[in-house]
Formats: sequence, structure tokens, C-alpha cells
Amino acid sequence: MKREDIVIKETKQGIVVSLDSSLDFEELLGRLRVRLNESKLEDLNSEGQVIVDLGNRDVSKIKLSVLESLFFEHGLFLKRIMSRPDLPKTATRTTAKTKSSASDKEKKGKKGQIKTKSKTKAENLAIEDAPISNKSKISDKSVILEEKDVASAEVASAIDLIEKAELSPKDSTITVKKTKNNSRNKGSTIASNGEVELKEIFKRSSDQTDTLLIEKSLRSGQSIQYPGNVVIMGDVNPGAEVIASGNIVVLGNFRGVAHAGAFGDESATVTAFRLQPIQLRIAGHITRPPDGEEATVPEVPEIARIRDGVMVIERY
Amino acid sequence: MGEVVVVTSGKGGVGKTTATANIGTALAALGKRVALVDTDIGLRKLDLVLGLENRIVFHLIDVTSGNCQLKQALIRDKRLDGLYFLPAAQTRDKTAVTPEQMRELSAQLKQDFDYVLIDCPAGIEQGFKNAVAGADRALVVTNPEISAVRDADRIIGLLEASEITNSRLIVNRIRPNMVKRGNMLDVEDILDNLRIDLIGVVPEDEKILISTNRGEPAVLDSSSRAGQAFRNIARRILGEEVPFLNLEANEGWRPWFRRIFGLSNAR
Repeated sequence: MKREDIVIKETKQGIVVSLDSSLDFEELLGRLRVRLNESKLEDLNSEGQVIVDLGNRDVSKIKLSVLESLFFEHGLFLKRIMSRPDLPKTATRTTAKTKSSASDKEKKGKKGQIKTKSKTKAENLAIEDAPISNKSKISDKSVILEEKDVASAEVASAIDLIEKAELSPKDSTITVKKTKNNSRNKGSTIASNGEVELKEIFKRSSDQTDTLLIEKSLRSGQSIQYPGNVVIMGDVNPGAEVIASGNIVVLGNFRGVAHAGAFGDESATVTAFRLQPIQLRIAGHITRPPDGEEATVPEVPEIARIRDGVMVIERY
Repeated sequence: MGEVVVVTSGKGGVGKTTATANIGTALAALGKRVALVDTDIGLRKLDLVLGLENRIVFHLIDVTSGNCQLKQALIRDKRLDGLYFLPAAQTRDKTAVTPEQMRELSAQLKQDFDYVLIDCPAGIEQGFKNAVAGADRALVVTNPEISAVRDADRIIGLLEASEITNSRLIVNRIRPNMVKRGNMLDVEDILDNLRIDLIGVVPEDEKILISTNRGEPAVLDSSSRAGQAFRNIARRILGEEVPFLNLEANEGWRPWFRRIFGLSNAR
């Protein structure tokens, strides 16, 4: 490998990208982009999931988001972030049982950490503080905790709403999205000194359509608002609403209010296994079922879209 | 300049929303311009009873927070010309609006409508405070059971504290047969307890359930006795002297049938 500052290798857990910790972060980003461009990482058979090893670099949450956006641009998801600060503070373990030989290998013989890992038990884990020995064990839960912290004050209402809807925090897609979103929001507030490049990254990543996956039903009063596509694996009951800038797909009964293409995209669609909406909106169009007709349950999946300026619902 | 009337009860499930929908519809049928406002944010139901759920685009919170104009949020009833409806938000909670905002909204609605009926949520907390903030008078709904009467008493006290003194009482879901047998509080007992003027007694009526499920207020059904009672209440609100329904004589065809065949009143 020519460049020692960025090492990419495939492991059982997925693609591991190790970033040299001595390099300036901005420069590292630049080089990483070049590397990602020339090595077709997404072709590797790891479902596009990436583990990033930050070494002992101290990375702010904003920078983490930037990193994630960068990977996302290349069709990759940040699955896990590893960091080995020189002074591991609270070593956090969820289970006492640890370390397969595989992760031992990845440890590259860092000894200090091995001690800390299995003994101390703690609930909250800041990812940056996680000693390397935790890498394969960082539960998704702790990742979520982290992201909730990130998504604090300035986070736009979309995220608030998503959280309000009490999404089960198991779903890693949601997790990833939250951070992404977050990065976008923060992007606009970043000072202009030398971080123009970052802004560009934000812009580019926001051109891509994200998809939010929700693995539960939405009940009355629950609302999902998301700048991207929304897929719901469950029902949407009357009184619930789904608002998305992209498409909406419901793998169940849709009986609520949907607004697809909320930013004006007329090509957006609403699809459901059983499409019985109270109201359907696509971009600037609003429709509702005709009055006085007994609502019949459709027997096939249906799709609603705008055709020639009129909303049509047809068999999918 | 119209009048803002809050429909309240304290206890849940006594028929506030049904009363609001029916009285409002009856007033509109009598040629008045009426606005119905659902303040039960997060647990809205008035839209269902009116059958207007699928027309909601903007809601009360959109108006109070300046997201839209009041005119945009008002939904015109599909049956009556003078009837408008301002829905509550379902995805928010009672704290999303303040009494000051409600006062402002009520004042604004009063300009355009003869009657503004506010459907109050159950309870005595923020939702209640919001609902009564802009009200000129109140209709207190109760049922002939001590729990509902107790809550109504509490509510009347709170209304007086907010300087709404001309409250009127609606006794809803009364069952004359049970009263006769002494198994249900009768209207006199309730009035004796609450000491406010009665504006109507509404009998229990299956048609209310049917009309609610259909989204068509029962006052539009001329055969519904509860609908008749609500129509009478609307006329009394307009100042007419309307005699109270003779509930016993109106038990449907059965008393008549029994009288013909000389059956004693077995039940």
C-alpha cells in the first residue's frame, strides 16, 4: 500500500478503514475521498458497511458527521466507529464475554486496552472513548445513545418528530439517517474559515435521497416527517401522518394522511399494500376519497401518483 | 359580533363533542353562521362526528402559530352553508397553544360568526384553560350519574372563577325508564345539586351512536329524539321559549302499543 495514512481492508465484520491519526483532518478527508473514488469499495461483499478506525484521533461530532456523509456519497454506511484515545477513560462493556480471535487480530497487539475492556461496566459510551477492544462489541444501542446526544438543540424538527414517534432504536438505518440529517443541519451553521469544502460535502450528500425505514405501525397522532423516502413496515392508522420529500411506501394498511413529494416533487408516489387513505397529498395536489361512498378495502397493492396533473390511484 | 360558547364537562365521555356537533349543526340549520372549534388537541374527535376528517389540511395550531390564515384552516361543512369547522391538531398536545392565543382566536372568529362553539377537552388542565379562555358563556354537559355531576360541579366552579357566570346545563343520555324506577338521578336531583339553569335534557338514543359512526350529526335526522332535544337547545340558545321534551311520552311506539292493548307498564 502506497499511502500509509489510509488503510482499507476487508474483515469478517466488514470493510475496515483505518485513518492515520497524525494527519490533519481536512487533508485526510481529501485523501480519503480520492481513495474511495479509486477503490470500488461498494463492490466488496460487505453490504456497504464500513468500520472506521480513527486511531487515537479526537474527532468532534461534526467531523464524524462529515466522515459519514463522505462514505455515504460512495454508497457506504458507517457501521461502527473505532477510536483509541491514548488514555482510555471509561472502558465500557455491555457483556463480559468478549473478543473473538478475529477482533484480536484487529487489535494489532495493542495491549493496554485489553485490560480495561472486560472489567468495567458502564451504560453510556461515547464512541470516541471506546477502546479498540470494544470494537466488535459496541452495541447498536450505544451508537444510538451517541446520536441522540448529537441530535440535540439545533436539530431540525424532522428529527425531533421522528424521535417523538418513538421509533424503536434498534434499526440501524434510522440511526445512520439521524446522523446524516444532523450533519446537514449543522453544515449550514459551520463557520466559513477553511471549511468550505465541508459545506460542499454537505451539499452533495443532501442531493441524494435518503430512505427512512420504520419497522412498526404508526398510530393516531404519530407523525413522520422526513427529507427523503419513507418505508413503513406496518400499518398507518387514521390520525397518523407521513410527510416525505420523496416516495412513501407502506407495507401494510395505509389509513392515514400521506404527503409525498412534500418539497414539490410531482414524480413522488405513495404505495401501500392496502391504500385506504383519509387524504393523499403529492407535491401540491390534495385528494380525498369521495363523499358518501362506502369505503371499500382494496384487494391489491396500489400506487398513487400524479399523471397529467391529476392524482391517479392504480394497481401496483 | 357573535358569541363564543364553550361546551365543557370535566368528565370525559359525557357527550361534549356530540353536543357541540349537534347544537352547532342545528344553529346553522336555523340560518346562523356558526364556527365549531375543536380544542381537544391530540385527541380530536369533532372532525369524525362531523364527517369532515378527510378535509383537514391546516389546524388550530397552524393558525395560532401563524403557519396559515384562519380562513385557510376553516373547513366548510359539506351539508350546511353557514357551518364552519376549525380542527385540532392530532400530532401535538395541549401545550402547543396558550390561553392568550385562544383568546385572540376567539375574538377573531367572533367577528365573522354569530356563534363560535368550542369543544373543550375532558379535564381541568391546560386544555380546559385554553378552551374557556375566549369564551363568553358555557354549556356544561353532564350525565345522570354522580361522577359526572361531581365533575360538572367542579367545572362550574372553575368557570365562575374565570368569570363565566351564565353557564347552562345540558343533561345528556338520560333514560326515563331508569329514572322512573329510581335507578338514575333525575333532572331535579341534578339541578338541586348544581344550581345552574337547565337548557336541555337529551335522552339516550341509539341514533346518536349510528350518526356518530356515519359522521352525520343526529339533528339532521328528524326521527332522532336526541336530535330533537339538540334542536330545541339550539332554539333556546337563540332565545326562544321551547318547552322541554316530554320524555315519557316519547318512548317510541311501545307506550302507545301498550296502551292500545291494555298492557300494564311492566318495565
